[in-house]
Amino acid sequence: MSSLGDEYYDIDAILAEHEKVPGRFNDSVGAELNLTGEGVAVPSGTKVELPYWLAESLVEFYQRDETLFDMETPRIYNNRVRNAIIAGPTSVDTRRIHPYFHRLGIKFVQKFEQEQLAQVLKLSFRKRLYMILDHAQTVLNTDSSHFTRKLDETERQLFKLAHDSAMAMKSWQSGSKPLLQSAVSY
Amino acid sequence: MALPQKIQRQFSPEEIQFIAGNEFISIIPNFTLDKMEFIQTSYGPFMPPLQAQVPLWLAVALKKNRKCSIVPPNWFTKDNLQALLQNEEDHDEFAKVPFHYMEIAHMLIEVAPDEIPDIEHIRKLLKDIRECRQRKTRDLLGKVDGTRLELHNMSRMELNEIRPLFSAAFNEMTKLQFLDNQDEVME
Repeated sequence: MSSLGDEYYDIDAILAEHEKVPGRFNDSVGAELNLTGEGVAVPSGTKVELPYWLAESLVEFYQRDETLFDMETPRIYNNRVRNAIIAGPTSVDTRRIHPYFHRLGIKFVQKFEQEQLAQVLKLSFRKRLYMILDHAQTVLNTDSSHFTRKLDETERQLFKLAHDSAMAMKSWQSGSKPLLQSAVSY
Repeated sequence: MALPQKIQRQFSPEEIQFIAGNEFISIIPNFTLDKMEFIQTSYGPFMPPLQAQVPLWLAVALKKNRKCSIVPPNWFTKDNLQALLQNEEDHDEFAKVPFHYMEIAHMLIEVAPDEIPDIEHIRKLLKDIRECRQRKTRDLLGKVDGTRLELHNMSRMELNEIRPLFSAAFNEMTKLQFLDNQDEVME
C-alpha cells in the first residue's frame, strides 16, 4: 500500500495515526463487528470516534454509492487552530495541540486533499522552521528544553539536526577536537 | 549501516577540512629539493627563494616542521576580506567566495599565524562574514517551497552544515506540495 510506504516500522507514524478522529457511519454495522465489547449493533448514523488509521480505511468502502464512514476534520485542525496559526505561526504551541501535529496533518491533507489546511500547515512549517534554525544556531550550550517543549515531533527532529550541525561546527572552530586520526587499537 | 546516525547524515567539519587539504597553495621553502615523489604525483622543485605550489596538507606538514613559509592566498588579506564583507552586507544573495574558504582560513590561522598580517582583524572579518552568511541561510530556509532550492555561491562547509536540516525540511515541504502541482496540471 502506498499509504504505508517506508513507514511500516516507523513508530512515529504509528503513533501519529493513533489520534482519534470523529466521524459517522452511513450504514448499519453488525454486532459481531463491534469490537468495543458491548456486543451491540451499530445503527446507521451513529457518531463515533475512531483512530485515524481505521477511519482512513473505512472511508474507502462504498455501499450503494455512499461511503460506509464519513470522516470529519480532526478537532486538532479546526478553525480555531487554523486561525491561531495564521495569526502567529511561531507562538503556537503545536506540541500541546498534538505531539504529531504536522505529521498527521500531512497524512490528512494528502488523503483528503484539503487545500486550505495544506496552506496553513505550509505557513506554519516554514515560519517555525526559520525560528528553529535561528534558535539552533544562536543558542548553543544552554538548556533548550523550554524551547523544544513547544515543538511537535517533526519539529523536534529538525531542531536536533540543526543543533547537531551547529555544535559540530562550533567544536571544529574552537579547535577542541583533534583532527582526523587513524583508529587507535587497544 | 553500523555508522552512527550523525556520521551518516553529513561529513563532520574535520572531514571537510581534510578534503580542503587538496587545495593548492604557494609556499616559500627553505630547503632545496628537486622533487618530492608521492604515489599519485610529485611536487617540486623546491628552490628558495622561489615559490612552489603544493597541496595545503603538504604545506601544513612542512610548516609544522619549519621547512617553509606559507604565502596566504590573494583573497586572504585584510582589504580583500573587508571588501568581501561589504559585498556580503550590501546584497541579498550570497557573495562569491572560495569554495573552501572557511577550511583554508581555519588551517592557515592555526598553523601559520606568524605569516598573516593583521591576523586579529582578519579573524574578526571572517567571523562577521560567517554571521552575515548564516543570516542569509536562515532567510533561505524560510523560503523553502518543496519544488526547488537555490544555493548559489555557498561554500563546502556551509553546504555540509545545512545539508541534514535542509533535506529533511525539503522532504516535509514536498509532502505538502502535491496540491499545488495538481493545480498546475489542471490549468
